[in-house]
Amino acid sequence: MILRHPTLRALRRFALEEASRAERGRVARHLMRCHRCQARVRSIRNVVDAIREDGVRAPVDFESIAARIQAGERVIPTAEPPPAASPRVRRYGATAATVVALVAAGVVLGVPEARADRSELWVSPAEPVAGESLTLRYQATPRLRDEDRLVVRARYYVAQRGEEPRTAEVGTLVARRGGAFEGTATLPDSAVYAVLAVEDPEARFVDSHAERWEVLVHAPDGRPFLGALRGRYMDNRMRNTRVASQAIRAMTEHYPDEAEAWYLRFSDEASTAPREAVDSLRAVYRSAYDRIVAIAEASSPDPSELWSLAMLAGSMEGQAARDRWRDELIRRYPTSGAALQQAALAASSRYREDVVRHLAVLDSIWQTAPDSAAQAAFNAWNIVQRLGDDAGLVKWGTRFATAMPGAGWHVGTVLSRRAAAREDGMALIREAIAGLDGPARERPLTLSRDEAEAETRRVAARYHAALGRALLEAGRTGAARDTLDLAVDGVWDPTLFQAAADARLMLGDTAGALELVARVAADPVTQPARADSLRASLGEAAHPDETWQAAVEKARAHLRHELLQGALDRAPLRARLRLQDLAGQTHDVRLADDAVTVIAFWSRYCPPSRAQLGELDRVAERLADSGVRFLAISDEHEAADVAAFMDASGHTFPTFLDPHRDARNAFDNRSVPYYVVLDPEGRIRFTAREPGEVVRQVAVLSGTE
Amino acid sequence: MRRARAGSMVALGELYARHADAVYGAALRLLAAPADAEDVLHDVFVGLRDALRAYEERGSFPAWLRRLAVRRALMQLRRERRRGAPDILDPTLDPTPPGADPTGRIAARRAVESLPEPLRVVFVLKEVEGWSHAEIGAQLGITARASALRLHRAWKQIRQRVGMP
Repeated sequence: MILRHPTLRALRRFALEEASRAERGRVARHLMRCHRCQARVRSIRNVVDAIREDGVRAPVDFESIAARIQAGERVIPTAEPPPAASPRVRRYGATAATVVALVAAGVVLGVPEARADRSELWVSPAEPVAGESLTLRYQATPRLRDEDRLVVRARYYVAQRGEEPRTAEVGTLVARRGGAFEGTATLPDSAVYAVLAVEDPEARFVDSHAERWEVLVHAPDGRPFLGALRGRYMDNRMRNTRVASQAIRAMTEHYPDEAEAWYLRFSDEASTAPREAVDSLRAVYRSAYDRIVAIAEASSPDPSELWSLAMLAGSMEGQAARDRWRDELIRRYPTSGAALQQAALAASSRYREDVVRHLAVLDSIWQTAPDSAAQAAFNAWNIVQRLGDDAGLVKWGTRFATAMPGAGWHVGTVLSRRAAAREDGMALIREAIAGLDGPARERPLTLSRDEAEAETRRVAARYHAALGRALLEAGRTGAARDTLDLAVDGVWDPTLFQAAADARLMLGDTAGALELVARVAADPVTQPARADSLRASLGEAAHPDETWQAAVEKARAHLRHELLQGALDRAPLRARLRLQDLAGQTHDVRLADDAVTVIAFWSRYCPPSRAQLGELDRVAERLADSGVRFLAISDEHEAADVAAFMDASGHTFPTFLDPHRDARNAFDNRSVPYYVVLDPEGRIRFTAREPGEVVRQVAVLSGTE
Repeated sequence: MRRARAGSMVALGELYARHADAVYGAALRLLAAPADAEDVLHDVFVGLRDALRAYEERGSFPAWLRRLAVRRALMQLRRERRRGAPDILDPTLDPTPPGADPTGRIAARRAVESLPEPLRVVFVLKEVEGWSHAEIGAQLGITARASALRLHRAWKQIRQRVGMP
């Protein structure tokens, strides 16, 4: 079959997102089969990116300009006035007459103040080699403009696959004029990819610019290190899939003989391609795969290369091909982490029915090299949970918690629910609590000191709640009450409050339980019927009415205090959003609207986001009843597709598309699920990850808690 | 903005610190000549006080400033054309050493810089500044269709120069 290639014009429109829906679909289907046109699209994007890159520096200082002005020099303004609006605003915005009327009425259409919130960081050289010192120029956000000195931190990845990123302070900036700062930074020697953020010396405020300031370390031959591109992919795969996909494409372009690069790229493209197109993908990758296999057969690949080749072979040719390379890896490097992981995965498929044999094999893998056998511990932990075998749970739970330190709390919680394993479970939870205070705990790049401490308090509350519940189950009620009391202040967590109240009730302390039960009842998420039954559980302690009302009022004040402590007060980067509804109509939405506004970013392709959609229906309805404006923003581009999904799934919350990326840019957000709560003046006051949090935040902002 | 309009040098200096790079970059892309782009940079900021009187604070200030810079750059081009200035690119520029441009960015920039001026101007105005063909046509005194045709010819030449498959 002769392929008819799209014209250069059509490829350009596709590459620069100017194609109509029908054309986009035609070109996309062609690209699935045509490597040459894929390369053309990449080349077009590369050219436009190159020419749009903001890498030039003005060659003169302001002094020479000032000298000319002070010498009385004038420049005749250009004959035509600037156009009334940019092309996009002209298509969707108000007419000129309406614009004049709105300006006369004092309505600000563009918000220079909002633009002034924009900061920028320039890094030189843009493509440093290992150990090279970086020169930085920073145009500060207003929150940092008055500082004399700023600190630069980095979240960085090392070259070796499988290592978690680390965070470190890497440089300082000194103030110049007009909010400009200059300084230097040096990444750790082992770093190959880093995301940068700027903060004041006390870490009260962090400017992380949506984590888009990044550095890729380059090899002497001018290519970014493979580990740098891998780091870029890993860092972006949950929050910016476009950048993540670009990183993988760059891996295959710079390292065409690396199995890992092609494996990641195949996985990425296959995950979004229609099922029937996956075979076409394999055909496109065939020559690269054949070349890589030939190289591997003629040389001695290391464990990491063999691991990647096994995974690529499995994707390209199926299980037998994967097993061939997997067996080679285990034979040549039996104690390597890669081999042990593959052995554990092989055991999963080989001993699916024979659990005893399966666990025995995983046990022998663990004994070979415990430091590298995390996969075996993980697989075995899952098996013993299904079996419900207490001894196995303790044995493999403890091993899993050792292999993956962050899993200690989860394992402890599971164990503490079983009488025979409770003490072991509680020991693990206590270790996890102790670990929260450890020096090894790094502050996340994007969190200020206060935000990190608040997050630690929230995590500690969860751990204490789990430990407290375990102590209650063990009949150690006094210890449970004391443990839970440690956690109830400094957070708003109704589940924790309920557990603490239960402990007090079991000790007969109904008066002490009153305050905590009142908090649960006062929570805006609690339904009125439940609030009534909570009151009833307290008996006389919740009577007369004045006593109960006073407790509820105090609880509401506590909620207000907890939430407002962490409240923001920030202008969005745009004051108006051009959104498209599912009928294809464009709406010009002002964020300052004399009403509280909730913006909800969602995606049906993100499991956590999708899991919240049912709750979103209820929340949207509830907010509408109380006069709050609710705008859900889908991450998709086709109104018809989203409309079809909403119809089929029965969801009713009002949703829009963001074709100009106005909402994403206004809030610097690329992740889902994500919620922003704005006050009636259009200022950002809260952000959240769950609809329940939004309900509380809106209640506090509206004064209706 | 108010202080800059009133002639405050501090305020103008702040605007310069924030926007000079973008103004210079916009001019350089159109003119492909650093000295001419520097002239535009000077003209824009020396004349900014007066130009701000016509700024009605609608939309984005940086975008307004870029359009100012672009129009000054186009005026510069018309002046150069009347003087019969030679085409810009120095053909004796060293080629990029092998391996020194792995992402092809340098080659892409050179390909655009080396376009004949009528094609380069349309390419930059469309692909970088985001102007419509109608606006480009109005500015350059050609039809929108002619602008689209020049863009297509620009892409054809770039494709050959970067070795697009």
